[in-house]
Amino acid sequence: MVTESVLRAEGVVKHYGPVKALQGVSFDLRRGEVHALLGHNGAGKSTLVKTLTGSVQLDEGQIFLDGQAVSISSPSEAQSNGIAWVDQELTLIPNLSIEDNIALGGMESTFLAQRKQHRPRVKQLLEQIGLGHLSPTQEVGTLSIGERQLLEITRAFGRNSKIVILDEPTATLSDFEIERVFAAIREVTAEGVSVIYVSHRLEEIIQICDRATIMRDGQVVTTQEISGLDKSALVNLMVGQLPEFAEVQSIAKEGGNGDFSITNLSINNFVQDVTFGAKGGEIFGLAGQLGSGASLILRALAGLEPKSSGRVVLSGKQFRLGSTLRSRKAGVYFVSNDRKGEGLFLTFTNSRNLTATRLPILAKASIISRSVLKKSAETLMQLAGVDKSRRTMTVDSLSGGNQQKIFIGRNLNHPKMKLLLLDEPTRGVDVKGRAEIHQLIREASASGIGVIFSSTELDEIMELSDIIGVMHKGKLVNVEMRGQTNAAKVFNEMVRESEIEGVKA
Amino acid sequence: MGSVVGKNSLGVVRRWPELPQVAAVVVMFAFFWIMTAAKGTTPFSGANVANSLNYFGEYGLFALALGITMILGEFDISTLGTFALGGMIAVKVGSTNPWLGAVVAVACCSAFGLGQGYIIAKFRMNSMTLTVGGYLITLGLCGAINKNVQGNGNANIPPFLQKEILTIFSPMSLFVFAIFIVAGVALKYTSMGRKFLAMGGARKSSRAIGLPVNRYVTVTFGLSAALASLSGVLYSYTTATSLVDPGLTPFLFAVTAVLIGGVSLSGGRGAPFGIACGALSLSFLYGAFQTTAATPDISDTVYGLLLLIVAIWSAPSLKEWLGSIAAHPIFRSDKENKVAA
Amino acid sequence: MTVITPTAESSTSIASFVRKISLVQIAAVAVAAVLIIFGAITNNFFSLSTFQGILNTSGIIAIVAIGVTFMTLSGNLFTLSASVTVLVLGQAFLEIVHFGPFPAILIILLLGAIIFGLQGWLVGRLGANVIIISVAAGFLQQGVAEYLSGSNPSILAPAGVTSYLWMRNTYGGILFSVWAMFGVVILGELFLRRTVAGRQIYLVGENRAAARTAGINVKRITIIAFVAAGICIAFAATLEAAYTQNAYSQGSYTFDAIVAILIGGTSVLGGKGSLIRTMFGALVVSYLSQMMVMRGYNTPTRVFVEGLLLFGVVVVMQLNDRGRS
Repeated sequence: MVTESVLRAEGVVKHYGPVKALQGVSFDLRRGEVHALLGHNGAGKSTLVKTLTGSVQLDEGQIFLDGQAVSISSPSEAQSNGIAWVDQELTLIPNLSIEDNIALGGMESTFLAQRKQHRPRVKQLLEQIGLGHLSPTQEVGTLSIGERQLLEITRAFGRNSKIVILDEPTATLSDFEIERVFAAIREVTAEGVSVIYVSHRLEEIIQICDRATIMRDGQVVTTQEISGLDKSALVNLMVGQLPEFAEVQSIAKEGGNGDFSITNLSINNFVQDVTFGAKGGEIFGLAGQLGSGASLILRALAGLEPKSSGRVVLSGKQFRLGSTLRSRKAGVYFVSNDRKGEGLFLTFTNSRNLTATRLPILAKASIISRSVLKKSAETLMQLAGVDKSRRTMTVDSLSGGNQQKIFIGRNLNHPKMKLLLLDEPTRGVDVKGRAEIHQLIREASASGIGVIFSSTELDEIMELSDIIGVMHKGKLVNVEMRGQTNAAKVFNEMVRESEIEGVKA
Repeated sequence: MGSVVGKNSLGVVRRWPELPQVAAVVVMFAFFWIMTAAKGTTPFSGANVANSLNYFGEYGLFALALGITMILGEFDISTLGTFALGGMIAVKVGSTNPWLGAVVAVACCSAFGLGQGYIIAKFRMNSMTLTVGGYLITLGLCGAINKNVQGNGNANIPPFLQKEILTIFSPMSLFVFAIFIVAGVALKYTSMGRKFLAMGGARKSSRAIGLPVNRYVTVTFGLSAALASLSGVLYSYTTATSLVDPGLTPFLFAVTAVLIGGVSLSGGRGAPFGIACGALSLSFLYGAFQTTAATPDISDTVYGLLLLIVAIWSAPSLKEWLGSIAAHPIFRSDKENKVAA
Repeated sequence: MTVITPTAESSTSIASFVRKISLVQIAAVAVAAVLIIFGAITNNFFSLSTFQGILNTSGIIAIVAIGVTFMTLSGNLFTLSASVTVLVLGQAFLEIVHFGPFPAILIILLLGAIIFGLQGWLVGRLGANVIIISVAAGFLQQGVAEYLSGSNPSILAPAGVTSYLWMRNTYGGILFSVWAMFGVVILGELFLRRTVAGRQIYLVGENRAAARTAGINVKRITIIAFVAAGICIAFAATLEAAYTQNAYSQGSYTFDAIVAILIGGTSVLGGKGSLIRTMFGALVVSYLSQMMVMRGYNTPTRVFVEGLLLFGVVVVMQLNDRGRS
């Protein structure tokens, strides 16, 4: 293997406000290698990738390309420096054809579109990634999610870049498609392209990567050759010292009004025949990686997925899925993972946000008095643990953690709630805020309602759940009481490792 | 290059996305034919068709102006003002030299459109809001010029523009066809056109892959002002009048033509070909009403129904609604409901 | 872990007051100052009759604009057929006013609610585009009205019926339509602030997806907003018909209403703004034109200045929003 370094980052520091996302990270990438970037959510992988692609500016440190110090101040600058990447968020244009999308990603720009001249190249790229059956003139909007992901990857490879960064490239792909991605990676690396591979899936990393850099809490734990490591070693490096999870006594009430059972839930032909249930007062944690279907289940229960079927019984009553109003009538309350898009009313005050879901119950004959609103908002602010003086401030002036508390707080103490669903309840929240939010959820649960949350973070699953269900590729692979399982086992199920020996729990 | 109608929620028409637009032209032409024949005149006598195509000549470019902003995901209400302003400047300046009048009119309006587009792009404004202001400003300018500048339309222009070519065409309608063809080719076969469609369909992704969105937005508003003013120039020259306030009629023609033409209000869909089809079919409809001297109650009701059909057909939740009716317990007899009950 | 630092919160009240002043407030004060200064240097501008004139010319426009504001607040832009509805319902009012003014008004309000409620259903339930729907509805109303009125396009007030003429009188020098405007604003604001549906209109307008996820019946709220708009516009139609005593030409209510809403500072994207703002928007426009008339400017210049003002208002609003986030 050639050991020439194409990209080197030294002492990179990045703050987001008071949060240190990167604390002096150093990293190097060799020519023609596949380099894994590993770590939990929030370990700093994404931030590191963003500094390399120019979408965030580093506060300290230096990046070198081919030994030359460079500053990458914008995504287009990164591209002209030969860095291509595939984000978790796709950037394909749905109303254009496949060939047009590939052309747009490239830097070449002639006056005429020259589709015919480029078509052989497009076909070759499609073949390479296993999309040979598609016509280059097909509109991207008609492709499946997996096909789009493959197209995005092959477009990045087609750019003649020196470095390609793949962020969770396989989250939405089937095994067969993953094989195609690997074949394409091998082809381009043989030509001298270097690949940074960000993923949680250890099996894939061992299969495709040459070296791995493992990050934790904004720092690099180690960079090692993969050949010297096995899965269990990787798990240990990632998880680090497993924290002792204090036994939080759950207060399960027999026959509480939050008992629920879900039978044969299927969504979008992806989630299949999922069956589980719990008693009111228990917190059910759905563990699963991005795209595992865990979050889809919550959305379906909230009525947001029209193509879902299955039998859902809450507090002894069955309700039909597919409508937010029916779900709400049944007593289901949902905290989305998209706080800004479908959660908060960002430019409204905290008070208005907190009372948004309970206007009908605060009203008398549809009329609302201002003092009732104020009182309710103050009570909820107190419950949510946000300072009362901020009642009339707008939500977008709060930190992410406090925003999330407001979001969850608006469902607290709700007389009609029987089941609370939380999708990634602490995404983008710092450690302190996270502990407070977990406490809020426990208190809500203690009132006898059912709680289901989904998380991609192992720590969160272990800390918060009474019952742990693990999702993998649309299937519920295991359900166990927290006391009967351990972090390593859940982690293995999430990433679907069969048996790992020698991992300490 | 699909269309609202081609890609609507019912998912019909995949093979030839412009089929509905072509069908609209055929249907409207047939309607026109029947109405004229029923009236006892020869439908293809030339004068009748040429008459219809005059509507296309006068309003077609207006529709194109509005259409390109809509394909980009914007909406330019000020085109109504630049339509009037263009006609006014051309008539006033062009009293001795109509060509000069047309050039000055288009130049002034483009400059205004570029300025407006720059503000929209720079501050990422909602174009529908800002262009209401642009509409008032251009309308005000138009009235001010009318009051303060002497000059009358050149009587030599109308016969020239409406001279008969191949029985049914006129220099004006051919000119408008030519512009549609240029626009269509530019959008379909150049990489600029490709970028334009990308920005209209997915603004955020376009920014992410580094396309010069602001520049395109600015230029598009300049172009839409230019086209709308050109439409106004043609209107004024053919009717030998200048409008201080055109009312909503040209605007409604343009909106309707664009929507029949398969342009989506959310952007990224549609093409000059479809817009031309939309404008043509409306022109035949106008022509049919004109030759039959239809009373306004009939013509208004027909326009209304036509638009209503377009609106409902392109409504995103139509399929979901039809589905929810089908899934309503009244229409279902499976066991699930009995269990629930 | 908050954006507002402790020092900012504990600083003196003056400093925090200064910090709280927004671009919008500065701009509003500037516009007010300019309007007052120009008013002051205009002969006889600050007189009772001028202000009566300003109010009297804005009453009906304001009511139409307030109606459209309900749609705007709920995130459904505006209607392009307000003028048509005012005309058509005005005609209908004159046709039926001999039943007595109150039954006639009630019927017209009901018609307005139905006309707009149907549009609201198409927009809220099917997701149809509000602009196309409103244009289509305009054509249809016009077509039906033309059919019903037959060959007689202009409808005059019925001879000998005087029972409704109090609707066109002045009270204390102020037209009834102005008092009605105040009434509509108060009732409308109470509805928006004090009722569940009213508050939900704001929530739906601010973030439709969030409102849906929060279990709010978005379709129902959309229809309610449209119905409120229809009732206001229908009421304006009765006032207009009673005042002009005939109904044969469309006013320019469609654009006047949009201008009043935008100058008032209500966000065209929904969720932010109020009926009071729209009323002030209408009054500012009226003030401006009254002042310019008295200074000898003609209509085109007034329209031009209105356009500039609107440009300024929407740019300032946008800069302010961007500055916050």
